[in-house]
Amino acid sequence: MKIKKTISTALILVGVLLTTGCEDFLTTNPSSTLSENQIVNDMTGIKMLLQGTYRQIRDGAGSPNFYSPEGINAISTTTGGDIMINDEQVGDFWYFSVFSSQRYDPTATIPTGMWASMYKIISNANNIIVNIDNIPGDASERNEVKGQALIIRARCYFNLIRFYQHTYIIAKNKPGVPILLEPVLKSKARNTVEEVYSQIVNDLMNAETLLVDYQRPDKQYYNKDVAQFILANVYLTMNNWSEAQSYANKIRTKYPLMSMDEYKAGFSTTNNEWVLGYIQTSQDYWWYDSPACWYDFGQNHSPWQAELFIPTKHFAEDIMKGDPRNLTIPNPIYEGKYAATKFLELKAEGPFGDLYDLRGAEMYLVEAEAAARQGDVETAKMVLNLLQTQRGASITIATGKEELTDAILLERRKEMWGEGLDYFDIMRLQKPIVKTISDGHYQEVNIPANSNILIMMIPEKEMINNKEMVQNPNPSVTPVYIP
Amino acid sequence: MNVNQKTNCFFRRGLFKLAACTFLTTGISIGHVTAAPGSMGSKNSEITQQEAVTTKGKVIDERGEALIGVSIIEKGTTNGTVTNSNGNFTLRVIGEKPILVFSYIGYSSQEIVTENNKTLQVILKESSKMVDEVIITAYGTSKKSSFTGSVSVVNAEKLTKISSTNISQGLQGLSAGVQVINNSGRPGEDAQIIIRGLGSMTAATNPLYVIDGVPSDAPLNSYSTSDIESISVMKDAASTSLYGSRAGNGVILITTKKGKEGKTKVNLRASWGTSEFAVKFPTKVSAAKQYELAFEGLYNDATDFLGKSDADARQYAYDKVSSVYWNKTPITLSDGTTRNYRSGWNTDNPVGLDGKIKTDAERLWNFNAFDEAFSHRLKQDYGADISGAMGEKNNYFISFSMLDDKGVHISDHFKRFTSRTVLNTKVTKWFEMSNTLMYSNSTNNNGGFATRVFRVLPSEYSAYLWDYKKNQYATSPYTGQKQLDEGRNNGRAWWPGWSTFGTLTENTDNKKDNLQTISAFNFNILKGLTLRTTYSYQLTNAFDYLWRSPEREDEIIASEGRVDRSSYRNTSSTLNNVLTYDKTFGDNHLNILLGQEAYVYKTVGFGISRAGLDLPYFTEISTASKDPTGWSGTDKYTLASYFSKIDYDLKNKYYISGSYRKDGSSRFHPDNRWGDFWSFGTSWRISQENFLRPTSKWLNNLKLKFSYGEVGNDNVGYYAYQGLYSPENSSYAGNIGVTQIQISNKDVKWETNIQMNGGIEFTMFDKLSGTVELFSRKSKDLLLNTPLPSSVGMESILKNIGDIQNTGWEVELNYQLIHSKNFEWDINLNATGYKNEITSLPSEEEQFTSGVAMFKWKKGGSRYDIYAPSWAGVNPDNGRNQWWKYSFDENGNVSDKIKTENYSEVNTDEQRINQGSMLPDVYGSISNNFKYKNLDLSFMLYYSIGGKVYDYNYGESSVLRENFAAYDVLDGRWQKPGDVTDVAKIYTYQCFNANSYARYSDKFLFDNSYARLKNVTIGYSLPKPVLSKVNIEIVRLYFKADNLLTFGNQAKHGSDPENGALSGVIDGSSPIPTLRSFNLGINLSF
Repeated sequence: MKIKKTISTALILVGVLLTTGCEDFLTTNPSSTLSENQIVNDMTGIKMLLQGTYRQIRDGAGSPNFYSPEGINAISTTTGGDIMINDEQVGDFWYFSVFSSQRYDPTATIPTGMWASMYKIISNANNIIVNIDNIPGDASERNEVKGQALIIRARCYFNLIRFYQHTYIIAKNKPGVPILLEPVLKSKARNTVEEVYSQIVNDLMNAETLLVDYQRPDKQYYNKDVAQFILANVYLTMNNWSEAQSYANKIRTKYPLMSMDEYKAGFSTTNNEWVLGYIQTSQDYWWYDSPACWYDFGQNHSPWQAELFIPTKHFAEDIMKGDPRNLTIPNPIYEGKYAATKFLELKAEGPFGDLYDLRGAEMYLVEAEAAARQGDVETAKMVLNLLQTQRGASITIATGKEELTDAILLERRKEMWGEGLDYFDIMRLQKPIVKTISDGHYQEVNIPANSNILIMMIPEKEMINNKEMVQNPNPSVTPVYIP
Repeated sequence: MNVNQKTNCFFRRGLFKLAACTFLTTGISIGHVTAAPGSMGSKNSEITQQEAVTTKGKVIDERGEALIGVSIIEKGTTNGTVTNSNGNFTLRVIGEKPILVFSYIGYSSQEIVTENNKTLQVILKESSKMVDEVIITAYGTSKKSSFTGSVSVVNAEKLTKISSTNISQGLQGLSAGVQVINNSGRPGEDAQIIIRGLGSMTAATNPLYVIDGVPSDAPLNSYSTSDIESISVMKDAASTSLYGSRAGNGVILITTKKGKEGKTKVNLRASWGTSEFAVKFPTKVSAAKQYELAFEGLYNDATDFLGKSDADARQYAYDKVSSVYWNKTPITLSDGTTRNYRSGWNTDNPVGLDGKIKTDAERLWNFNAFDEAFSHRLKQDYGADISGAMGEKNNYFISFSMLDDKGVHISDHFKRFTSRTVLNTKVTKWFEMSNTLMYSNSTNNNGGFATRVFRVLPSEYSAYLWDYKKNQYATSPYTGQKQLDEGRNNGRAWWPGWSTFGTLTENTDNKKDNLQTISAFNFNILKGLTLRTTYSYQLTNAFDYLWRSPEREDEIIASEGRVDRSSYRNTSSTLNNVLTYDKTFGDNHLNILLGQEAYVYKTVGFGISRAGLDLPYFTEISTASKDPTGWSGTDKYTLASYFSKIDYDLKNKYYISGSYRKDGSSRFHPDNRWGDFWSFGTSWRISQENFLRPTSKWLNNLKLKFSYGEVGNDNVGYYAYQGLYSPENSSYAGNIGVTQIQISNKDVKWETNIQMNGGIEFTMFDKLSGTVELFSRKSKDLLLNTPLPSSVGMESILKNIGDIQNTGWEVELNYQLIHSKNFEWDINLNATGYKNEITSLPSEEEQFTSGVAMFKWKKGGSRYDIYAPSWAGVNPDNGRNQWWKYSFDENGNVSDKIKTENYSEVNTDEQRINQGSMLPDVYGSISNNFKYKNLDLSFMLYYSIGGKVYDYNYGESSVLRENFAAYDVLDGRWQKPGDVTDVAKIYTYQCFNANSYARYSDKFLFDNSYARLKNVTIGYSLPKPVLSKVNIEIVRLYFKADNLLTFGNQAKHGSDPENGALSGVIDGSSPIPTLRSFNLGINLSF
């Protein structure tokens, strides 16, 4: 009897276990990450994705030293002749150097990382742009989110197209970069440079419209002004002078120039001239990846002296002679060299102040250049002189178009040194790179205009996994691009 | 033959009658089963009772101890009995000159012709271990002779020969087809175990560990080897398919020791040992030599790249030599002079213009990182176990062991204690229960020391801060000892934070508590029908602690320092219900198993980290000053399964078995969640056939077997199919944000492993036994994190990309060469070889990298083939490296090649050609065991022949690079035109540009054949007569040495051959090399 009872109990037990709801039992979800459904179909979720995408572009998808706006500035700055890599500290063949294989080897860090980071940010932005219109709710809220995502995407494409192909004017019909507008895993062939620019302009103009009523909480967010700022630069690169002038003017008239005291304070506190900047918090500061550390030789009291970049003798002694913006000192460590004091850390303890990204002065220079190139020397001179007066620098009196244009380009160097215009200007203006020992460089460098060394190779991983991709010319085979 | 068959049937029935016990006690020994005597053939004996004559006797073993339960059958009849608990038997025999057959598991059977009324004394000899062992199988047991699958059994005796205190490491060389890679010389680390080749790329490749019938989630290092009774390595589908989705990489069944009937038995053991690296590290050049090399490199930079004249180049090198290792950090000395570099020399320019160290240049310090950090440290291992019975119905086993292993590095320390309690109770005739409780606690101190520190730090650097004003090592204001320094602010040009000492200023302390309970209930419902319910709860609590002294940061940020605390709690529950039905009818025997299992694994964790310890004795979160950061998370994995198995045998000669399991896993999308796994196996004991009767004198056993089946692998992370967004590093402007980390991918499904096995088992002359098996293991729907073009915004996606197949062979041979009274000599040999082929790949090619090494997958190719550019020697004219640049014809075959010095020309996908396989051709071991009177000696030689490895470390040591250590390999460098050498001309700052750098090519791809004297054991057991006076059974003293000698290419390079054995690459991320250890121990039993 007892046995029989046991049998039936056991069989019931087995039966119950066999029929318990398996699918519920077998569905598990993570607690520390969120599922797709929670993000792309929901306004709160998609706003979180926008925040994350902001963080990605601000931090260069995790490598602020290379792919953040500041990192890109550093790559650009060191390509030019005014700021050089401290050979004695890191060697002249280091990452940032134009002739480092890190710049043109398709397997090296920078070409692979730049590509992957920009597309990673684009993919997140695409996720927002594609899904936002299907989310029910307030249309103005949707517009705000979409507009911001469009600027982020456009900015990434603008970086890509300038690093992976020669400038618009000479390479319009050349392969640019693939335009991906949806978060799908299908890769594409390279679109032409012209198509990429047209996508950038579209996205930015679209954003400008969508964000017309958007009041950003602070200068960390992309608004209409940021779209217009970038548009001015895009048009400048396209030699579309009238649009460049008109967009630059919108910003120039809206963001007053900082005082010289603010200028000398080291670009680590938000001020009125800033169009875009970031407040570091104890959770997300850049440690030694901030520009102040790269330039620091102990004079800034910053916690890390990276001692990477120094101004050349020629720049400190000749170009900037007598200019109030000549924030250089004799190098306290390397005899006969200079050190820059332009960028300063705020405090001796993290998070070390704000990081600036875009500021108004650049738009003065864009507006002036665009006006001058159209022959409107009066406007050009007026805008240029406004900047010079505010800085207490010598006032340009030239009136000839060419002369004035040169003066404006010189002013760009003086006002914006160390701020990442060099490479993009060299490409845009198709200038050679000449560095001489007599100017204070470590060695003689001659890179002809439109050298293929200056554009990055498409990463090998992309070449292998994307059958439609075509590679840029190998600079050791074809040194110079002939349009 | 009939008799033998009946004998086996008897055992079979006996076994299954006690199926409960089988499962509950797992390590069943038939010797202790008390079966009812005379239960067989009673009908027969009744008929012939009148003529019957009684025969009596006693059966003992070679040691004179009584054997219980020995089966005695009168030959040619079904008449038989078994011995009682004293080894005695009484049998009424029928025949006139009856022949009695004595058989007993693990012993050679014996035939004896009896005479009337004579009392027999029968001594049974132990037979070869490989025959008729009872082996533990999935959810049950089987006799080795009838098992259709492929299994290697490692018993406790073999395990004790190895001084390893870790099960996984101990398995090396003990069974064919099993690759055990001891890839870390740190104490407490588990070895990697690969059965019959890697069957997966992305999913885990480790086998499923099943302890006493339930999958184990406790780390292997929490078990004490002395608690292990046996380990069965299940290699083919027939033996593993009942574990379905988790059996793809094979299954290792661990059986722990149990209580036995009889008197209480006590074992005590203790051992002491010490270790060093099994392979000597390569030799660094002296600090002086290093400076001279830097000078030469700078000189070469200047002449070859900067166009300087000889004199200018010398001056250039003279000025710059200190900058190769130091940044300019000027310091004014007490005598008022200024130094630019805080180097280890008394001058900024220690090398003269002639390139030699100046006569007046003096070293400030001499620091040997290796000598300071490594020493012979103590390893202690103690244990005790007691087993016995309480009455007839209960038995117990209790054990305690303790391990204290200080490894080799100054900061290492692993401590563990394990206790285990096993109780079995037979409550009623139909109900039994057993409970196993294991608790282990371990503490692992690890300074995060990596061998790369010792590889790359130049001889120039010290780990202590130098006080240039006092001209001595600086004293720490905190400790009063020499001030530790990790190169953050002392002017050292590179490797900030890299320390020889690791934990002296950074304490990493991982504590683990493992609790494991296994409760088994056994119901004998009807004759032959058994229900077994097993529940197991396993808990691992981990507490990780990291403390970094503010002192460590050395002035960079005043009072930084950090404390991290994190904790995990991993729990798993397994519940299974298994019904078995066992029936013999006539010549047929049937065994059916039906079961169900549910498994839940859950991990929860949290951590908090806070910087800003103002004083070095501030060690808690609450004493830190910066904002804390924290995290927490929960993950869960569930598995639901149903399974069944049928075994059938006819006349104990022909066996077939089939099994089926259905698994549902939470890791896959509902559409792909359920998987079906099955197997079929058959075997034929030819030696039981009449036509082999003439050979039965010498051919004791011959069996053919074959199996085929499918098992799976789902071990690919918890949420493989879901689109995931992570908040990590995604907050912005103080608001929470997320970014995409995984794209949803509902198509991803199981990897299926299709396994085929065929083999022969044999025993000859009662001396030689062995197994030869051929296998094929095909991984279908292999999961690979397939690289994506970066332009889609994701680096890779998990895809079931194709099929690969491992086909190979295994041989295991045991030879009892001499077994005389005083001298015994056994030889064990095993060997395995297999090849790998990619049998299907939808895409044209897939690539993946392991470190720098590149692998390309193509249909018909091997997953193990390394692709690299080809090195073409050093150009004797200019000392530069050269590579072959290939031209290819339209079929992709090499049509031409030219030499180039420009690496970028060969650094392309097409120039990376197949340079051979990293897979060894054959690997295995040879063991010898000797016993002379009370002395025993054994040794095992492990070997691996063929297979390549990319030695990045050696590559790195054959170039000069600023801030890196230089090695004596550079003595052979190119120095003048005409020099024919493998070591290129050295450069310093221009080394990358000059292509003298160790670029990835087949130059550093070496044959990784090696042999290793895995262990040597010498033991002495005190004579029994002496011991019996003090009531002690065994006292054995022994000395063991592990990894005593290593032969092969890689050992000559200073690289451990086991380091790259699975990844194909030895590089900076390779683990700590294997250790050579020496141990003294004592075992005592009473």
